[in-house]
Amino acid sequence: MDIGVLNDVFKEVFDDTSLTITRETTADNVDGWDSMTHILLISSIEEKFGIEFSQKEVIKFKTVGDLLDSINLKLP
Amino acid sequence: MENENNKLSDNNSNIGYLCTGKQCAMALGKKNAIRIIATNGVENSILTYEQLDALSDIDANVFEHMGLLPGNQVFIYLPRLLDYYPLFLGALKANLVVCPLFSNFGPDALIDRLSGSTPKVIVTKGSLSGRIEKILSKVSNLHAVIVIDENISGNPIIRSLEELRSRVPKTYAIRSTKPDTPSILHFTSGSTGKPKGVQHIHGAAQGILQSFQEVMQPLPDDLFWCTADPGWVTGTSYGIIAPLLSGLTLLQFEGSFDPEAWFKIIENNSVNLLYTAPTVLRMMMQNYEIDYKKFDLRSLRNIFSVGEPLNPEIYHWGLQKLGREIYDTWFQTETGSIMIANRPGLEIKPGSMGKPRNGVQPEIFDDNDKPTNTEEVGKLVLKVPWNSMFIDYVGATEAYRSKFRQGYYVTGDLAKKDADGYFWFVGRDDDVINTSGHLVSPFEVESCLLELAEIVDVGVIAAPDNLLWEKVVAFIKLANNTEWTNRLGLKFKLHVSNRLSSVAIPAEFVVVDTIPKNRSGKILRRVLRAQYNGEDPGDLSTMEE
Repeated sequence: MDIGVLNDVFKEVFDDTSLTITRETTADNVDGWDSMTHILLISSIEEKFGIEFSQKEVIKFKTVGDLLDSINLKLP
Repeated sequence: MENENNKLSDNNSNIGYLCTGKQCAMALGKKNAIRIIATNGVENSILTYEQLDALSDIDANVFEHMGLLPGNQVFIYLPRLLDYYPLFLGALKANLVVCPLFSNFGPDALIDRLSGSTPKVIVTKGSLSGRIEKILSKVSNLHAVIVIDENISGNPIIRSLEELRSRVPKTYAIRSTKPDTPSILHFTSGSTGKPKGVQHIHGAAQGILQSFQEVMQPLPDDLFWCTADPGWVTGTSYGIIAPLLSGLTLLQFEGSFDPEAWFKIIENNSVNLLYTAPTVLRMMMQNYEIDYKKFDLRSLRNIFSVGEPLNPEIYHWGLQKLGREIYDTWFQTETGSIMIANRPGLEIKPGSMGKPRNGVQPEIFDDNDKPTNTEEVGKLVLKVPWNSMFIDYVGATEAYRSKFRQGYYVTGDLAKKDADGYFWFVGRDDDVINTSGHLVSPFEVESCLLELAEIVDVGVIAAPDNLLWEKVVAFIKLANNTEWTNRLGLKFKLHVSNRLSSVAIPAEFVVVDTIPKNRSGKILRRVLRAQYNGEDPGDLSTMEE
C-alpha cells in the first residue's frame, strides 16, 4: 500500500487537509496526535483496511514507517 | 523549607517581573531559567534568567505597540515551545490578562472560550493557525493573530512574531502592579453552560510560591519538571510561575508522552523534582515491558501528582518500581495553588489527599452547610480568603457568588476527614467529568454530538475507569432510519476529537430510545448513571412522561 492512502486517513483523523506524512513522521510532528487520538487513528486504519492490530503492536509504533510496514504485512 | 526567596517582599507584585527582573536583581541573571528538550529527547534550548527577562521585555513592547492596554486579553494557543515563556511573562509585565488555551482544543472548544471573552490578540503557531482561521468570523474584538514560527501572508489580521519583535525597543519599563491586578484567566468546565473564565490576580504569586516551598520543598539548584500543559492551571502555576519565582531551572519537553523517553530525560538531565498526573503514572504502571529499575534515578528526589486522586496501587508501585513515594496534591483552577497535599515529612496514608498547607482551612459540610463528623462524607469547602484565590468568573459573577456560603468557598468535590486530620477525596458533587486529570463538561460534549445529523438526543455522564479515573459515556438516541455500527461510533468519536478535544472523546456510546429528562427538559444524569451501573435510579416522579 502506498503512503498516500495512509495520508488520507491521517487527514481525516486529524482534520487537517494540508497534512503530509512521511515514513519518518512521529506523533511529535502532528498536532493533536496524543494517546487518545492514537487509538482513533488505529481504529480508523482497522476500519478502512479491514485489518486488526494487537495492543502490543499499537504501543510499539513509533513512526509512520512502522505503521505502514505493519499494515502492508497484514494486507492480503 | 525556608529559602530567602520564599517571600515576595518587593513592592511590585507583577508576576512577569518577579519571575525575571527580580531574579536578575538577586544575581541569578546568568543562571538557566528554562531548559526545553526537543521532541527527539536530546537537543535542548536554554534561556537564562537574563535572556528570559530581555525577551519578555521585547514581547511586552510587542503587545503595547499593537495598542493593547492594561486589562486587555491575550490568548496563548500554543504547546510547550520556548517562545511560550517570554510571551506569557511579557504579557503579564504589560498588565495584560493572559488566557492560556490547551493546544489540543478544536474549533468548538475555542469558540466556547473565545466568544464569551474579549480577546484582543491570539498567539499561536503556523500549524494551529488554520483552526483559528476557521472561527475568526465568530470572534469579536480581535485585534490580531500572532504566529510565532511562520510569515503568513494574505490575511492582514495575521502577524508574524519575528517581524513584530524586530520593530520594537529592546527594553521595557516595568509597570508597577498592585496585588489585586488581574493576571491570568483559565477556563473551567461546569455541569451546564459554556466554560467559565476563572480570573486570577498578580497577588496570587504569594500563594503559589508558599505552596511550592511547603509542599515540593525545592533546593536552590534543583531542576524541576512539571509535565502539565500550560493550558491548565497546574501548567502555569507550577509549570512556569512557581519554579521561576523560586529561582530554579524549569524543564519542559516538547514531545508527547512516552514512558521510556520521559525516564531517559529524567536520567540524562538529572531532574530533581517531577510533578505529573495519576493517569500518566497509571500508564507507566500498566506498561509491563519497561524495567524502570534500569534508569539511573538518583537525582530524582521526589515525585508529586495532581489532577485526579492517586490510588494506593500507584503509590505502592512507585515505592516498589521507582523506589520513591509519590505525593498526591489537590487544588482547583479556582484555588490557584495547592490547598491540600501529601509532602515529604508528612506520613502518607495511601489514597488520601493529605493535609492542608499552612493558611488553608478546609472543612467538610453537610447538606445544611454544617460541619460533618469525622469520617462522614460531605461537601469539601475552603475558608475564605486564601492567598491565591480567584476573584471572579468573568461574565458570570452570579455563578461566582453562588460558590460561597457563610465565608466558605464550595469546591464541588465530595470528601471526608479522618481523625488524624487527613482528607479523602470521594467524588464530584456535580456532573463534571474528571478524565485523565481534565475536567470535561457533559454539556459541551452533548452540544458537540448534537451537531451530527445521526444523533437526535444525547445525555453524557462520567463512569469509573481504571486508567483515566473517569471516562466519558454518551447515551444517544439515533435519528430514524439510522442504525448503529462501529463505523458510526468512530465517526462520532472523530467529530468530538476534532471539534472539541481528544480528552472529551466518549469512550462508550449507549444507544437508547429516550434520554430521561425532568419536566423542564433537564437531563436526569443520575438516571443514566444508575442505568449504566445497573443500579436503582431512585425517585422518578420528576421525570417527563
